[in-house]
Amino acid sequence: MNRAMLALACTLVAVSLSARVLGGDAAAPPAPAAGQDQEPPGEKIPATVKTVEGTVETRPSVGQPWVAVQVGQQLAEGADLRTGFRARCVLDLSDSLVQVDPLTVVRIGGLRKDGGTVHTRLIIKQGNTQADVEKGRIKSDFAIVTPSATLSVRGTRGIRAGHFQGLGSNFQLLHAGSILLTGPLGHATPLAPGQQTNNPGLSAMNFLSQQHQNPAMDNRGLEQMEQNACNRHNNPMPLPPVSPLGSGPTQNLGSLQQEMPGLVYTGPPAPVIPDNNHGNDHGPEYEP
Amino acid sequence: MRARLLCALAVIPLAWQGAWAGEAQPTPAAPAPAPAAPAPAPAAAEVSTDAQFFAELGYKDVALASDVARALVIFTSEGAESGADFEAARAYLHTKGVLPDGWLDKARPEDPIDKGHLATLVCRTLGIKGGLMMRLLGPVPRYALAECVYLELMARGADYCHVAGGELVGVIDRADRFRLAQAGKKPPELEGQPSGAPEGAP
Repeated sequence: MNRAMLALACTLVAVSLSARVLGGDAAAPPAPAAGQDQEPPGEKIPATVKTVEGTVETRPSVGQPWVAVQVGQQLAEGADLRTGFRARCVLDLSDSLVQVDPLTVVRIGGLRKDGGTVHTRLIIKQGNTQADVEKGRIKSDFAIVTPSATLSVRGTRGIRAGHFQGLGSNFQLLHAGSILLTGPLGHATPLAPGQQTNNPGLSAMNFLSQQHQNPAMDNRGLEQMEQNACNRHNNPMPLPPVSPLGSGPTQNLGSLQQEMPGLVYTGPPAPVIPDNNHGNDHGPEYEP
Repeated sequence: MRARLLCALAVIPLAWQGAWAGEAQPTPAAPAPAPAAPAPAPAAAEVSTDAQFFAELGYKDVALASDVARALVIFTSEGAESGADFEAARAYLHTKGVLPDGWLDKARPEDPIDKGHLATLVCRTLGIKGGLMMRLLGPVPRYALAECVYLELMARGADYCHVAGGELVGVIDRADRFRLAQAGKKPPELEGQPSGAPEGAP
């Protein structure tokens, strides 16, 4: 009996020492992620506020105070916008117009001009937007990112995109043109004029995030409160726009290119998502 | 007796270091914490704007009765009232006929709302009559939620499920669109040309 007690005491001392060692490791500053400090190519261009209706506020970056938006104000890459009840705001992004609808929080994730191409990334954290992308002398690389899908556009008018936690995302194309939706796992769906799609349950994503770790999360655009909210709901944070033609399981990309010959992806490389299911996109196979 | 003494001796440093509860271990080189600055005098409570309220509500895990009351006051008054004070918000909703609903008029501000009672409030606010059972029994949570799901105002689910903050924001947005559609109006569409558009573009 005494020997057992002695063994228990030794075990407890060992646990104490290992906890101290692990605690020291956890207290070490995290190493910066690879590629996090890489500056994207191109020159930053501002977005100009064309119209304001109701309570619209902006901040230049996370941690800065929110201030009311004025007509004619210029917003730089990284700025956040939020609108109140029945409040709206129209932004001129050089090659596109974006209307931020009521009850929306949106971030200008990227707005750069590289040669003759304008790269635009809008990150919808919550709410709805409408957008018109002009097809003209400026080449557009325009994408709207929501937690559940990325919408890529070239020369299209009447785009609607929205996302609310618990209600899912909704994408709609009103007028002529073509848009392509890309899910977090690389699934691509083209939308024709008049079509809309939504995913009220996000069941596939919830399933995957419960079965595995959340794939390729990018927390650069989110503050701690938002990260906590995303983690609580097992909801992936807005991903950086993945290539519509990039790596992803089970999609006949050749036919998509035939349907949308103008679609050329010029953004950053797609995150590599390991395909452990041999092309089965309905989740991992059951292995007893 | 000796073994018990050994156990006690082993447990004391563990408890002292906080390793039981998984507390963060202080690094030896960490400087001593600075003495706390004197707390500033409490300023007058600032009422957040509706944009701030809805943006922060979107990240809440569960919507509370105070959140619902404020959101409904903003919705009912079309943005004219702030609804920041819970009791004043309930009084305002009483004057508009939304209350009493059987739940919000008795709830504490920190009580979480469920989908059924939110659907009841939405139906009472928008004047939704519902189908046969709802007309017979009134907007009880079960049938009110079914009606709200049918009208695409809310997502389907059990009427006893709690409502996330982002879901409440989405319901308010959809309810406002529904109200506009009932009045024969449309939310304004995007018009105009970007500055980089070619001349003469449609």
